[in-house]
Amino acid sequence: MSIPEGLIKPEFERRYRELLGDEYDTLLSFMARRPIPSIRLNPMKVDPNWLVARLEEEGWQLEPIPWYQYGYRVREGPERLGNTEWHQLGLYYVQEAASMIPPVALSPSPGEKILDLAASPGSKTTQLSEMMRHKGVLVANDVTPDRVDALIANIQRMGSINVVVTLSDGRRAHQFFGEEKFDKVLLDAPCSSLGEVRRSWGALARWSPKSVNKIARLQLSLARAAYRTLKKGGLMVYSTCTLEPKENEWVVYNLLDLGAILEEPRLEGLKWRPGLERWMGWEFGSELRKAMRIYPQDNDTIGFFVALLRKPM
Amino acid sequence: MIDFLSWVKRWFGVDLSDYSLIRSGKKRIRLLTKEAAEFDVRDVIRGVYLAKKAPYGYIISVEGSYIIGRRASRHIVELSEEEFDRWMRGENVELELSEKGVYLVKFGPVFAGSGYYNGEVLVNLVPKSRTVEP
Repeated sequence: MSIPEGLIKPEFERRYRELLGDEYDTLLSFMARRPIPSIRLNPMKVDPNWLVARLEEEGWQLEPIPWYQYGYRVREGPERLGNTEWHQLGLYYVQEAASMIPPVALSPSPGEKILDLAASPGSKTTQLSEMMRHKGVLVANDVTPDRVDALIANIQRMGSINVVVTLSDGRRAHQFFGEEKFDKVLLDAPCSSLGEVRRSWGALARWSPKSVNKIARLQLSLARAAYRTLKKGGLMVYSTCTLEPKENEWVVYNLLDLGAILEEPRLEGLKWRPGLERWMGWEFGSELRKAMRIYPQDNDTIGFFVALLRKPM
Repeated sequence: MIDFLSWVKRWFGVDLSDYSLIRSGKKRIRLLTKEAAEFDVRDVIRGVYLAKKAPYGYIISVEGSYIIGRRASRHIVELSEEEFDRWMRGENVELELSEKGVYLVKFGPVFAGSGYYNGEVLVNLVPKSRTVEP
C-alpha cells in the first residue's frame, strides 16, 4: 500500500522533512501500512492466562506488548476482533498498542480519585479502571451526548463499576469539578490525529497549518482547565495521537508556565524520542526532552505524544 | 431495592451489601462501588446496569452475571462448548434443570448473562447487542 498521490501537502512535507531529516521517508512508509491489531485483556473479568490459552487454542497468535502486561498484538486471529464471544462478554478491548501508553504513564493506584477529561470512547477509561482494581473513583467526562453514549457502552461491557460519567465542556473543567479535586488527571486530547494515519488517511487530507493552530488553542484550553482540577502534588498526563509540535510541545510548554514540572515516564520495552526543545522559532527548552515522542516506525504502532506533569506541593 | 436484594439473597445466596445499588428508571437497577456512589458531582450515569424487573424475577445483565455469579451458590448453569456457542449467537438452549426461574450462565470461568428456564428451554436473555453475529 502507498499513500495516494496528492494527499501529502507541500507544507506537510517541508515541516516533517525538517523534523525527521532522512527518516521522513521511513515515517511515510509506516504511515502507509495498516497497524497491527491489538487487544487489551480485562483482568477484572477473567484470568488473563486462561484467556490467552483459550485464544491460542482457537488458533490466534498473540505477542505480548512490552509496556502493558495485559496488552497483546494479534498476529493471527479473526478478521473482526469486535465480533467474538470474548469481546462481547467484555474479556478484552480492541485497542491500539500505543493507546495503552498514557494510562501506564499515569500509573493509577487503587483508592485514588482520577479524572479522564476527554474520555470517549473509553479505551483508556476502562484501562484506568482495571489498573485501579475498581477501587477509588474514576470520573470519565466528555463533551457531547453521542460521545458519552459510546463511552457508557464500553464502560458497561468492560464492567467498570467505579466510574462516574459526566457531560461537560472540558475547557471549564475547573468550574464543573472544582479546583484541586483529583489525585491524577488524564487529558488524551482531541487532535489532528496524524498518528492515526495508519488507520485512516482522512487526517492527512484534513491537515493544514491553520487547522493545527485551531486545535492547538482548544488543547491548551483543555490542558489548563485539566491542570486546575489537579491536587497539589498530583500527576497529569497530557497525550495526543498526533506528531504536531504545536499540539504537543507547545501545549506542554504553556503548562510549565503555570508551574507544572515535567517528569520522565517509565515504560518497559518502549522506544521513544525526547520531546523537541525548539520548533519553527519557538524555544521550548530542554525540560521538554522528558516528554515522549513515539513515531510509528519506533515500535510499529500509531504515532503518539505523552507528557507526564506534576503539580508542585 | 429491598425486593431485589432479598431476591438475590434468596435465589442465588448472594449478599450485595458491599456495593451501592441505584434505580435507573422504573425497572432497571445499576450497581457501583460505594466510593463512586458517594462522589459529589453532577453525573450522567454511574456504575453499570445490573438487572431489570421481569414477571419471573429479574433479568441479570452480563456484568451482573459476573458480579453475582462469582459469589452464587445456586441457580448457575454450566454450558458445554456447543451450547455456549449457540448461546452467544442469541439462541435458547434445551436443558433439564431442577426448577423454573432465572439462571446465571457460565462457560469455564466465564459468565455469559442470564436466562429464564421455563421447564423446557433456557430462554436467552442476553441483549442482541452483546451476542455474536453469524
